[in-house]
Amino acid sequence: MRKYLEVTLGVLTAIGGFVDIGDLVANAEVGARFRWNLAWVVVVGVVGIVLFAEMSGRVATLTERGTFDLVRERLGPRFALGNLLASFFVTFLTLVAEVAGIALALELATSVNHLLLLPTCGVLVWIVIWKVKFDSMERVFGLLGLALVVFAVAAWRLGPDWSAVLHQATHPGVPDGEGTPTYWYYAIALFGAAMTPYEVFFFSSGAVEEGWDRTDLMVNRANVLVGFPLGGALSLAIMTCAAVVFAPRGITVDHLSQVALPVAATLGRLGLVVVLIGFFAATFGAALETGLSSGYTVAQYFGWPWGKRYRPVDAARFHAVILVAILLAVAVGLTTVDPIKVTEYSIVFSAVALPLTYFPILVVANDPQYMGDRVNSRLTNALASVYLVVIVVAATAAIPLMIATKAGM
Amino acid sequence: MNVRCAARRLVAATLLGPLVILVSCSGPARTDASFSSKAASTADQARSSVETVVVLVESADRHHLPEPYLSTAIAEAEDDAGAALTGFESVQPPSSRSDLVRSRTSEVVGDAVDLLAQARISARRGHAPVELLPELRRASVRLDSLAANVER
Amino acid sequence: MDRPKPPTGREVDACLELLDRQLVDSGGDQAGKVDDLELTELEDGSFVVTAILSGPGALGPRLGGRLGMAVAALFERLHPDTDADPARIPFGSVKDLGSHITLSRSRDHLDVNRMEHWVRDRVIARIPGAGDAPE
Repeated sequence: MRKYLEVTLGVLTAIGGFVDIGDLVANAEVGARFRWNLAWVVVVGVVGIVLFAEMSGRVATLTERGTFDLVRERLGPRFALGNLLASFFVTFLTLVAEVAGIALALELATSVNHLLLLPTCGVLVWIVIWKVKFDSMERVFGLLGLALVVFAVAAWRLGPDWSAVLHQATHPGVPDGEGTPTYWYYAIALFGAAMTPYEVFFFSSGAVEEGWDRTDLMVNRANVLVGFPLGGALSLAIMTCAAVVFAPRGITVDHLSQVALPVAATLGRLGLVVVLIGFFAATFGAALETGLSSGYTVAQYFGWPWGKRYRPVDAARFHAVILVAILLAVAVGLTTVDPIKVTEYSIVFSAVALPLTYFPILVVANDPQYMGDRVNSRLTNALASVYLVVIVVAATAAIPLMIATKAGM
Repeated sequence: MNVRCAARRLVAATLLGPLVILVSCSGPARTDASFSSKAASTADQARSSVETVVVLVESADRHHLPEPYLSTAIAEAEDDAGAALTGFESVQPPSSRSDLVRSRTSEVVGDAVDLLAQARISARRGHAPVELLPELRRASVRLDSLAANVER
Repeated sequence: MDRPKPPTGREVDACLELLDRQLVDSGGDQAGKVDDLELTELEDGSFVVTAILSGPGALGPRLGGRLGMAVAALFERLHPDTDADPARIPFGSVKDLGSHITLSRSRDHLDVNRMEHWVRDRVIARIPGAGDAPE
């Protein structure tokens, strides 16, 4: 019974924790401009992240070490350093976007300018990382994030013609008025939002933080196989809401306030309150994860003591990196850069960094020296190899498309 | 050529990419056709903002949405439309033939921005500007036909 | 330094099983990575590993190129002595070789941990709650 409860809690946490500001912005923007013609990308992205999260969780559980630790050992310090720099850059950019996202969510609730709220948000994120236990932190924000289910409720209430939706989703095409390069640019952006690299560092380090052992492998699998797809369904709900409310009116999404609008329009005041709670939970949770991931990546590469399970004095450099990362993130946010633009860049650069982050996991997950008898099955490897090709194609096409379409304008 | 070399090049490319985009975003219009095209996209952007406010006000009327959300959302829409107009007006018309396009676009988009400002002021005072709905809808139609005609 | 003993025990491939491995101290805590190895030449011309080198002073030269030089320069900047040698752990302190390298000493006694202590004392320990376990 206890195990069953644990599994359920894990799954719920995974659903609620799946969506971050990148998903909120990307799915709403795409739904408004392309309706359901890019829904297939979400499905592809969810399958991809399920595949690699399961792998990295399995690797961390069996080796009791984090990803970057193993990457350096297995692939050498030079490759791992290049990997570290790229991953850290992308994770940091995402951190900037998430912290700014918290401020935006609070601005919608209080109408206080988000720039004024930004330093406080940074401090709050840091305090939680400093003081709160790892699993309490995960549980609270994961469960609060379930508030985003309100998008599914709103989508159902908006009642589009579901057979037409299914038809468009399964027969995707470039809609009139949009160019093919723009279509593929947004496909890559959506893909990068679904397959966030930091998720992998965080998941694998989290497994070590929570002291997972072999018996927890089943819990890991359940979280990933059930939680993430349901989280992906939430992404599709966000897309649906935007497609039904915005697309017919020719509205393009550029603000978080617009992402919430379909819910406010259908479910009123209560719906709006719930969705804003969801925004707060999603961005705050993701800020915690990216903040911690910036520490995990650097500390694991250099072999420093790392982890929230230690007292801060026992993992000083790890906590110093996190502190500096959060300070810098707030500083970048205070340059009045548009958080939505930062989000858009962070997801596209995530797509560019994907090969660097996923390839090493695939290598380690196949190494019997680390995995024993739990190396990848042939099916997993086949699927992962296909994904590696997709990831490399997306990564190489991302920047050229960004330039060609002027970042999707 | 090794992995580190490639990684460094990749990082350099990704850092330069945004610079290129920033440069290419607000370039001058060299032909009348591209100027008209800019006018049309400005009208589209403004129309998106107006329609957003229409949805916002309709919802506020039906559901009594909280003031912080409503006023923030309307203000953001107003800022977007205003920024689009300013951006458009800063572009040098390539020839005198484009002058008419410029004045027409300025007029229609400018009216829309003023209307959005009124909506924002009303919302900030805690009152959902429901009485502005007919004008907002008219503005949206004007912007739509402007965009269609200017790109003839 | 003692005269190196003739080879006994098992053979390991230094590249695969020593380099870039995690160091774990006698208390089970992480103590850095094997960033480089110190080799000493014997009279018969063969080499023997006499110490593990750890930290940016060791990693920088091994990385090579401009990046490596930057890392090494950073180390020189941060080390209190001018022209310091990279942190050195004599190979005699190695207790066990496995998926990680276990040492027979506590990390507090290792030169490697100098940076960690500095950050701890100057930055982290000054923030309230640094000594508390997370709640």
